Amino acid sequence: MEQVTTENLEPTADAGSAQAGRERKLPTGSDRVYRNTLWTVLTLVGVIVFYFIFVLVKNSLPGWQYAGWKMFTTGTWSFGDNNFSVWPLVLGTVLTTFFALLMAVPVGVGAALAIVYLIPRRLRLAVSSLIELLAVVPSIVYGVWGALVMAGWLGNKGEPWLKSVAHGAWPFNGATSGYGMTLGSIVLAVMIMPIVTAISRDVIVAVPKELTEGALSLGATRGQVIRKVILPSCKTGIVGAVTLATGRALGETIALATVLGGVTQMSPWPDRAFSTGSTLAAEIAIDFGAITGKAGNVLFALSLILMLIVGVVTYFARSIIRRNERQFR
Amino acid sequence: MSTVDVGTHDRREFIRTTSAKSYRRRALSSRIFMSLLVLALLIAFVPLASILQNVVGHGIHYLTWGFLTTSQQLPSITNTNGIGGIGNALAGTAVVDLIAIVISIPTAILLAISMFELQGRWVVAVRTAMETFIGLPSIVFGVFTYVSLVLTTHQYHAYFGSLALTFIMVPVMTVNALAALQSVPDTLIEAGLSLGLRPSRVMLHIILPAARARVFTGIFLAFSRAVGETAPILFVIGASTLPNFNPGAQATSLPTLMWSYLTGAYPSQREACWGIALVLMVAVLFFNVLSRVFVARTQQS
Amino acid sequence: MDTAETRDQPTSVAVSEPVLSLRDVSVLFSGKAAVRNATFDVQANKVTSLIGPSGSGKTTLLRAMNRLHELTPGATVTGQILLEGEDLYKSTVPITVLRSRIGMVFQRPNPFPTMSILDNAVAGLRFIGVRDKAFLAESAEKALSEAALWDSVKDRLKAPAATLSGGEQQRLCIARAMAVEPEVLLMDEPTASLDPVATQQIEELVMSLKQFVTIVIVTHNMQQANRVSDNCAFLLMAEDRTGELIEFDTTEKIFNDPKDSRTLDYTLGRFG
Repeated sequence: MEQVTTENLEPTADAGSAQAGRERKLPTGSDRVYRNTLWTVLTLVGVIVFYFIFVLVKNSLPGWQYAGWKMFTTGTWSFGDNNFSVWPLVLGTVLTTFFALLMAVPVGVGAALAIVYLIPRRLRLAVSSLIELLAVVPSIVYGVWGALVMAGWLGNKGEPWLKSVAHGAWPFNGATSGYGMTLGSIVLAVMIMPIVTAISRDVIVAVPKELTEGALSLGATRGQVIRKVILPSCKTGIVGAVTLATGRALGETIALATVLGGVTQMSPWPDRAFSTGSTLAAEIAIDFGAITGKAGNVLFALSLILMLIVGVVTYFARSIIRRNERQFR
Repeated sequence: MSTVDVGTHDRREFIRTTSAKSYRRRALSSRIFMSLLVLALLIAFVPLASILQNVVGHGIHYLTWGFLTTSQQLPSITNTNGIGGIGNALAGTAVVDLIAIVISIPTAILLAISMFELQGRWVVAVRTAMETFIGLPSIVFGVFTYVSLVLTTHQYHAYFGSLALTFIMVPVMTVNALAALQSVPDTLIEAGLSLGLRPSRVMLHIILPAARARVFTGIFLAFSRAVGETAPILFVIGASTLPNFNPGAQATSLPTLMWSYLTGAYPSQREACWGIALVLMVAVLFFNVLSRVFVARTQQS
Repeated sequence: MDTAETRDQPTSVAVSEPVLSLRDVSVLFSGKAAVRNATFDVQANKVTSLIGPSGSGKTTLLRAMNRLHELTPGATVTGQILLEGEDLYKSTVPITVLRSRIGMVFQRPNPFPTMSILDNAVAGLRFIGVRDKAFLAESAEKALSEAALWDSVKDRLKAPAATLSGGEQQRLCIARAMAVEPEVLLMDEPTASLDPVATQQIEELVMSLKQFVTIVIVTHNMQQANRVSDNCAFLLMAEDRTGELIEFDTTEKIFNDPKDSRTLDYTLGRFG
C-alpha cells in the first residue's frame, strides 16, 4: 500500500495532464529497478537531444567563420562559387510562405466552416478525412506532382494567362517557365491547407451552440452568425492553426527543392512572380550533394538558422493552441 | 440626436421597417457568403483529385511483378526505356524502415512511461524537446546524422538512415503514447496500486493494456510519416542498385530513388516516378488508415 | 383536457388580446413527437409560464415559438403558431424578420464573448440593419435600463461582456433581446444557472418587463412560476414519452384550485 503524503498529491509540472492531483511520484525504495531504468532512458534521450543541438551548433561555427559577414550582405547565393549571401534564400522563404498562407488560409478556414455548417453531420468525418489525406502525401510525391503536372500547366497556361491579365506589368513580367516562385507557393499552399482546415474545424466545433442560438434568435442570417459571432470567437484558435501551418511551410524542403528552380545566374533574386529561386530549407537539400570542404559548414549554419526559426514558430503555435483550448472552460 | 422620434411606438416602427427593408440585402449577402464557403471546400478538393488521379492514372501500369522485383537499371541511348524496376529500392526501404521501427518503438514507449511516472524539470525539458522535434524540418535530422556519422566514418550505411528516421518517429510515438497513458482513468490505476501491486506491474498489466489503442495510433502514424521521408536519409544511406538486406551496406529507398529519377536525364525515369509514387502512397496510406482505425478503437472504449 | 382561453370566452381575468396563439401544436423529431396537441393563448403584457417535470416538452414547445427547433435536423412542427394572427410557419415574412419580434433568453447567459457590453446590447439591432449611431446609443440605454443594468454598466460600456457576473450577464442578454423591441420575450429557465440573489433580481425584472413585452417563461421551479406568472400551462410526459398540455389557466387557479388531479399532485410536490 503506497503511502499517500502531501507531496505525492501535488499537481505535476505539466498542469495539462490528467494526472494532476494523483499520486504519481514513485516513492524511493519501491521498485528500484523500474525507477532506475526509466531514469536511464530519460537521461539518455536528454543527452541525445543535447548532443543533437551541440553537433549542429559546433559544425556550423566553421561555416560562420568561412562565410563570415558575407552571409548577411546583399549579393547572391551560389554555392559552387562561394557566394554565400543568404538574402535570396531568406526572401525566397518569406515570399513562398507568405503567398502560400495567403492562398491556404482562406480556403482552409472556408472549407472548415463549410464542413461544420454545410455538410450533414454523418458525412463530416468522411469529408474531413479526405481533406486530411492531403497531409499524408509525402513531400517527394508533391515534388513529383509539382514538377511533372503543375509545372507544365503553369508554364503553358497559368503563367501566360496571369501575364496577359496583368499586361506584363510587374510582378507578372518576364520569362515564364512553369517552375519558380509561383509554383512553389501553390504547392506549399496545398501542403499546408489541410493543417489549417483540421485545426480550424476543431476550433469551430468547440464554439458553444448557445452563441449560435442567441444570434439566430435575434434575427441574424446564417452569414451574419458565422461572420459576426462564430469567427470572432475562433480567432485565437485560427491564429494557432495559421502559426502551425507557417512553421510547416518554413521547413518544407523536398517539394520546394524540386519545383523552385534554384537561385541561378539568370535569376539571382526572386523579384518576379515567375522567377526561380530557393528557400533556406530547399537550398540545403540542393547543395548537399556538392558538400566538400569548408563550404559544407555553411550548410550546417543554414540548418541551424532554419531549426531555430521553425522551432520558435512551432513553439508559439502550440502555446497559442493550448491557450485557446482553455477559452471556453 | 437620432433622426427618429423617441416615442416607443415609433421606435418599434422604425426597427420593423429597417428590418424589412434590409432583409433582401442581408439574405443575399448571407447566400453569397455561404456560396464562398462551398467554393472553398471545392477548391480544397481540386488538388487532392489531381494528385490522386495522376498518381493512380500514370502509375498503375507500373504495378507489375517485374517492376516490383527487378532492380533498377540505367537506361542507355539504345535503350531509353530500360529503367528496370524498383526491387532494390523496395528492399532498401524495408531494411531502413524496419530497423528504424525496431529501435523507435521500445525507445518511445519507455520514454513515454518515464515521462508519465517521473517528475521534475528534466521531464518537462525532454517532453518539450519531443514536441518541438515533431515540427522541425526533417532535413535537420539528416544533417545531424550526416555530420555525426558519415563525416566521422566516411561511409554510408543503410542503418544511418534508420537512425535518422528514429529522430522523426520517436517524438511522434512518444507524444501519442504519453497522451495514451495519461488518458487511462485514475480509478483503474489506484485499483491496481491498492491491490498491492508494484508500480511496474501496474504499468505492465493495467495501464499499458488500457492505453494500447492510442499507443498503436501513434506508432502507425509515425511509421506512415517515416516511410515517405526523403530528406533525412538522402545523404546518409548512399545508394545501391542491387537489392540488399544488409543494414551495413548502402541502400536506395523508394523516396531517394524518386529524388534521383526526378532529375534524371531520361524521360522514362521521370515517368517511372509515378509508379514509385503509387507504391509509396499505398504504403503510407495503409499505415495511416491503420492509425485511424486505432483512433476509432480508442473512442469506442 | 385543455382549457383554452379565446377572445370570446369570458374568464376570471381581465381579457387582453392574445399576442401568441398555439393551436394544436405538436413538435416532432424524426417523426417522434416530443410534445403534442398544445393549444393555448398567450395574453398580451402578461407573463405566461410553462411548468412541468423534466421531459414534459416545455422547452421544446418554447423553442418552437421562434422556430429555433429547426436547428435540429429532422424537426417538424404541426399545428399553428400565430403571432398576432400571423402563422409563423406559413408566413411570407422571412423568419429572420419574424425572429426579431420574438426575443429569447437562454438557460445559461450567452453574451457574445468577443463583444463589449454596448456591442452586445445593440447586436440585435445591428443584425437587422440599424446603423444610426444615435439611435443605437439610445436603444442601448433604454434596453439596459429596462434590464436594470444601466446604472452599473453605464461607465464601462466598452468593457468586454465577459467581465460581468453571471446575473449581470443574464440581464445583458435580456437587454440585448429587448433592444429590438420584440412583442414577445421567450425565457428558457433563465435563472437556472444563477445564485439566489441574482435569481430574485431576474424575477423582479420579469415582472417589471411585462409592461413592455409579453413574456413566456419555462421554469423548473414552480414556486418561481407562482411568484412571477399571471397564467400558467402545466405539461406532463405521457406514457408514450410525449409531452402533453394537461391544464392551462391563471396561475392562481393552477396553484390553488386546479381542474386536473395531476396538476394538483405536481404543485403539491408529490412528484418532480
